[in-house]
Amino acid sequence: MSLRPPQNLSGGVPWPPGVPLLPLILLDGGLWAAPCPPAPPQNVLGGVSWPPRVPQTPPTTLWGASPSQAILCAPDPHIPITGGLQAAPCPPDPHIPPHSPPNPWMCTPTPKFGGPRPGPQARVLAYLERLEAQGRESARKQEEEEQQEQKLAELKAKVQELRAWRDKLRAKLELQQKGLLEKDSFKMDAEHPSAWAVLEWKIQILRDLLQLFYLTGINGKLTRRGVCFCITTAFEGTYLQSYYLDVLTRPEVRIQCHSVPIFIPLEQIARKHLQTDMRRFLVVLFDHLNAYDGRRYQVDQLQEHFSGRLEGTLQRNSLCNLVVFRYNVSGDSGSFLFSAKLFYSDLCCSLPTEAIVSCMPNAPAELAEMAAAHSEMFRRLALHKAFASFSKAEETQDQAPINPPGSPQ
Amino acid sequence: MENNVYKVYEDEIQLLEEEIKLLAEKYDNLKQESTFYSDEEILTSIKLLQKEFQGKSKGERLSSLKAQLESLEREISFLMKFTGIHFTSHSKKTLEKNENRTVQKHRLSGNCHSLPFQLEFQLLETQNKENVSTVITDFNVIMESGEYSDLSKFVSSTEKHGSLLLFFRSLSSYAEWYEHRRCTFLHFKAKYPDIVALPEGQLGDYIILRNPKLPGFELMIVWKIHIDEEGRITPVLDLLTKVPEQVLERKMAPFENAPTCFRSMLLLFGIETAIENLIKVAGLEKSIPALLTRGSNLKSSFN
Repeated sequence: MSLRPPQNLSGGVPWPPGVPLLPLILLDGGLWAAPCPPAPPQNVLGGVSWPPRVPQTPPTTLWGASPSQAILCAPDPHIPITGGLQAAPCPPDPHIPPHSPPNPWMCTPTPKFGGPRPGPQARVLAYLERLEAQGRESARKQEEEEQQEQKLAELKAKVQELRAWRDKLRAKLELQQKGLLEKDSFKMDAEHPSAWAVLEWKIQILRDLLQLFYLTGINGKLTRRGVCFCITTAFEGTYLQSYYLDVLTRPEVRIQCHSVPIFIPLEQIARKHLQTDMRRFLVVLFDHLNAYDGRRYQVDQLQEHFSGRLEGTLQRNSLCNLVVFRYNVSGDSGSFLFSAKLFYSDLCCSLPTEAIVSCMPNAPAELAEMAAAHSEMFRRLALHKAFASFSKAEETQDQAPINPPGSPQ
Repeated sequence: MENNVYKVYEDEIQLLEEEIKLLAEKYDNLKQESTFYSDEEILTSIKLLQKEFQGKSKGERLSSLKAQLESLEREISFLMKFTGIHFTSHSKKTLEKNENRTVQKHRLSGNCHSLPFQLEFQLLETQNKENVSTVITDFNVIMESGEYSDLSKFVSSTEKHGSLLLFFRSLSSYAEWYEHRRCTFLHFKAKYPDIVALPEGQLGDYIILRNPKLPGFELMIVWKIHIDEEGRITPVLDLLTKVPEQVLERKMAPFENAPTCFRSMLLLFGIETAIENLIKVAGLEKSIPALLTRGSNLKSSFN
């Protein structure tokens, strides 16, 4: 019987050079040694320490097989032995899958050794130890695999469950959209749950109604000692900001805290109206905030959409009621630079009261005319819309040069 | 490798869970939007539950729901009273909903002080990074603008730009002026019933002052409330005179000046005082033309 070392079947440990060839077979990724001299490695199961002069008889009690047998059978007949292994000890069957069924026997603690052992025996032991580690490793892998499979099965089951639920919901929705799921069937669920549902429905209706006040610009919530007002600003259809004012009404009307920017003349407005007419106070404050946010929004839009036309940085003050910038204009005889200064003297207004547009002093008369037209546009249109209209005018001018420059669309 | 196997399933589970969440929300929305219960049904439900769960553990849930209901109703009634905006009916329909985009169609009717309105708009909410952006589109207003002709221009401008917020703010302030005018007219009618007449009722935009001793003599105070396209409101008052010929023959000049005088009085004293002074003058037993030209304590302000 010539046995060669297993060709690193489990993929882990290389065959140590110089280790005597042992009739070893790897089964199930673990060690199932043939108990041949000189040292039958029967201690794989742990517990028994390795005796240096162990009787040559193999531990039949444990293994349930005679030493003469080249292959030890698994004591548990239910543990399958992979096909090819039974036939011949060597060479190992290449069909053995790298991850075969688990072998519970391999989960054993390392046997305790009496101390360092010289000579080939030690090397054998080291080798066996390594093999054992390999075995443990593969057992661990198998266990992991089992867990993975279990997890996979759970995941699959969950997917199935969710799919079924989704399909049910889809079907219900379809019925509902067709109007087949009537109020009555919803009421029929059970007698009392429907009364609950009626109450919950009403609460939702009231919540939606409250939500609507947000869209009207002035909203509020009753607090223990007063009202917390919320002012919402918008530019046309786009909502911009919300500001909060916590107003105490007892013992006297007073603003507890607020999120109004410092440059809005809140104190002045409060002094004028807060004690006498709360609604008036909020309306005036709203006008200031809405105009401020509106001016800021226009500047932001200008910078966002027409940065290509702007020359240098746009300058504005904190209230955004003074805006200065320079921009490019293309005329018949090339491109020119205009500078604009917009001033909003009415702080409750988001259109400038004054718009000065100037061109170079030596510019042709046609440009001076255009500058005047632009100034008029800035006073009438939102900043970014005025720019959109300039661009449009220039385009049409390119196509049909009859149109005067800067003509309103 | 194994992780990839899981990932396929885990991804699907995540997708399914998201889809289910959306579907469930959609279902709840539709259920909410397609149902209607009258106040009576709501009261019946409360009574039913009260009877059933008196002193039982579920009674807590009932009282918490009732408390919620009451507090919401209190808030709404406070806001309606405070802002003067009353919503009488509201319905919404979710047109589109996914993770970061919701489109709802709202129908709303109500009144702002005494002015009724009906609206329709789409509310688009987009979630980007940290904040939600809210935009109004497809804004439509139905108002009987025949009566409030200066309002219709403003309304169509807000419709064009989707300015729902501006609509509410300006309508509020317009309606407040409207209300103020009505109250002022009524106040003078009650105070000087013989002199003040409201030919178009309390909602009309003018009053007529008559002197019972001077048949044919009439002063007409027209009070218009102007609203521009940006929603700015300005009250415009003017005085028209109707003077019998025999009076005119005698004193021509003062009546030509009266409207100008009234305008300066408005600037000096404000609307109410100016009207009151005019009424007092019109009601005096002595000849009005004479008063308007000499001897009146109002003379200084008339010039």
